[in-house]
Amino acid sequence: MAKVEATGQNTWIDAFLQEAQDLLAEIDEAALELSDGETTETIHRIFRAFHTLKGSSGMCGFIVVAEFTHHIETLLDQVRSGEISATPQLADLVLASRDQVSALIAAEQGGDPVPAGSSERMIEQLLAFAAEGAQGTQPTAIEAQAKVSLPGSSKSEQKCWAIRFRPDSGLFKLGGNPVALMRELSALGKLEIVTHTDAVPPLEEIEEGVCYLWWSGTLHTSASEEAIREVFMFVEDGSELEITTQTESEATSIPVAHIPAEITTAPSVTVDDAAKKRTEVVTATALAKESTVRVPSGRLDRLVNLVGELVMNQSRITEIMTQTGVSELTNPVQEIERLVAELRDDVLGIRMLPIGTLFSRFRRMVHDLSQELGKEIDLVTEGAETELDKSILDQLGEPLVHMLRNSIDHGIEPAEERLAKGKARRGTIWMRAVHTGSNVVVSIQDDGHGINRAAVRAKAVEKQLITNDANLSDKETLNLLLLPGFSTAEQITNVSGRGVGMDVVKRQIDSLRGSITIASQEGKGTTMSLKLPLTLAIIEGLLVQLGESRLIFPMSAVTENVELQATERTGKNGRNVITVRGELIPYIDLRALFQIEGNAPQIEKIVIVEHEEHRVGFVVDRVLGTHQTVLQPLGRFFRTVTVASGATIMGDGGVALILDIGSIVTLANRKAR
Amino acid sequence: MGVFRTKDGLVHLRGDLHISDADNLREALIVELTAAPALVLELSEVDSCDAASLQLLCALKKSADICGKMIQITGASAAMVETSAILGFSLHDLTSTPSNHK
Repeated sequence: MAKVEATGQNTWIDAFLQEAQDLLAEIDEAALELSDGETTETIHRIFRAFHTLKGSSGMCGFIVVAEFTHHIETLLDQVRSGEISATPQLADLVLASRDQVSALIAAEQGGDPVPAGSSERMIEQLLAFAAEGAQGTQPTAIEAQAKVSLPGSSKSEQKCWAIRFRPDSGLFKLGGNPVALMRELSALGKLEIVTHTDAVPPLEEIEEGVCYLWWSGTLHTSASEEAIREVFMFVEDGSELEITTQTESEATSIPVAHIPAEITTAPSVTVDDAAKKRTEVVTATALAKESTVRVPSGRLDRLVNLVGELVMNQSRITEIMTQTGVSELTNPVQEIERLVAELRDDVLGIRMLPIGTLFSRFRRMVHDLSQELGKEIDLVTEGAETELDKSILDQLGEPLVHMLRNSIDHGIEPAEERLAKGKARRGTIWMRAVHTGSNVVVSIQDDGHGINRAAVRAKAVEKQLITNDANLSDKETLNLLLLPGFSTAEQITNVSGRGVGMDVVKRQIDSLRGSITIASQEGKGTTMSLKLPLTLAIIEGLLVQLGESRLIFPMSAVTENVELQATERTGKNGRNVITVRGELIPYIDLRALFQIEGNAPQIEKIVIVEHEEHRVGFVVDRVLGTHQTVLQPLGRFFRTVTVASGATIMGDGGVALILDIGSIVTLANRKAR
Repeated sequence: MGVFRTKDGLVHLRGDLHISDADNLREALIVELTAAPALVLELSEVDSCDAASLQLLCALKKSADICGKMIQITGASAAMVETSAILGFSLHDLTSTPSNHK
């Protein structure tokens, strides 16, 4: 078969590929639940996901995918109906089938071809499992429950649905295939459908590629309305689709489509004529259902950029109004300010995604890696609903993968070792996400053997990262793990421990304006926490003046501002510290650090920020106030500038640099040595 | 896809009747309809068909009705029958009944 390529013109294939990723992720998640013993709803979920994959892949021309998926779908249907027991081995088969489908889709798109015969071997395994299962082993209690309560396994749950489908006239042009659609519907239950030809014009008037046909009929099935609608997922746009329930008595059908006896012995086709009238009623539930629209993330990014520009221009207008003092403009400008702020929040809100979308893919990873390493590990996720900007989520996957791999490989002990230590046989890794102010903290905690400080220290000395007599606090010792090239693994494994990783994690988290902290108790476990901003597009900033320049501190880091009198500078014997409510806080003189010429004002300001669990001050000339900061990259000419993570355009057209707190602290420390 | 008339006057449709060839099929059917007072279609050599081609046969019937010509079907392949059955499309309705014609 020719390779199927997704192009901008073929939006259905784009939609299918996107949907396929979601379905594969759902199968992953559900299969892991299945291996944990969750069977009742789970089998139904997996069946539906494969079923949708089969239908939509066939519709989009991915025939190989559809054909393969048919086999796993058949097996799952047998499990649903109670013919075969849901055993833990089924979960492994489901996962393997899911991987095969994923590989087949990738191959169809021009990726690596799947190994010859791999689909056939997989199908043989599915058939063998079905044959073995059908011979009948005594089901366990859970399996018995699954057999009894699985949706679709009970006759009493059968419903009759009236369906009326008038497709978009461009159905044929867009590659829509009503035959595949009806086959899909038939797979859900007993379908009685009729093609309506009343709108078909004579041959001379018929337009190329236009679909004049429409369909109505009934479907007797235990499937939900949602499952029926899924069949029409790729053709619903621009089409009229009505799905309503009927009682069995209403659904008495009469034959309407006949094949002349002399032509063939075709299967009879019947339809409920009365259904036409009844389908006029759209159920309240269908109307109440919230509709969703899939939008390419690129378009969303452009929207965010446009809102960013709007925010900048709005602040320019505000500034011009203040300078010109035209009082008539005050109210409209304030109103625009309010609307822009609302628009900004809404647009940024659209790009917020629950972190659970990321969590779900780690369940598979933990399952596979723990099997590979012969460990028994449970992954517990909390706060999956916590939302983060998509641009941050996209970059968060890799660091989290590495942290998880570390926990699995170095953290959790093998079962025997755990038992010997008096711990539970199965190790646990917790992934948590929680909002704290304008940040999200994502943590990975394990109940493994914790971090051996002595080993860390010895390795750091060996790698010449510290001297033998270095006096390090506990926190500083743990932070050695974040240095480039550090690894304490005795053996380099495929899982982790190549000496790169945690420093890469730190760099990636830094680039997201986040921070990483490590806490560990020997023998008890380790917790690594990432503190991340909610968004990177527009942030609340504190605008300050330093000489002729304006600078911005990310407001999320700022805790307070205090005054610094010239006399206070000399009062501490030249040491850059200030006492704030009894607390000694070190400060960095930005004027000196950045070698800014001219004299500092008599009274300066210290902006105090929270950095890596410490408070540190930055001396500036003046604090100008808060500022809605639209982040702009510095561009390649400034790529060597580390003290600023970006820039923003001010209301008067000038530019303000956004300070990178961590880099400034590092630079100041380096200069102080 | 192929459309041809045999000496006995039957119009044979054969091969794959798909949307990609729909325009050619339409042109061929218009020619055949114009050529004779009645059209007898032989569909038993159709390897496969889709909804778009069944729609064209339906349009042919409408054209025939307008100009008062008869349409009849003498045979249909298993593939054609199966597709019609799946879609709930009545091949029988493509055949003119005497009451339709003066």
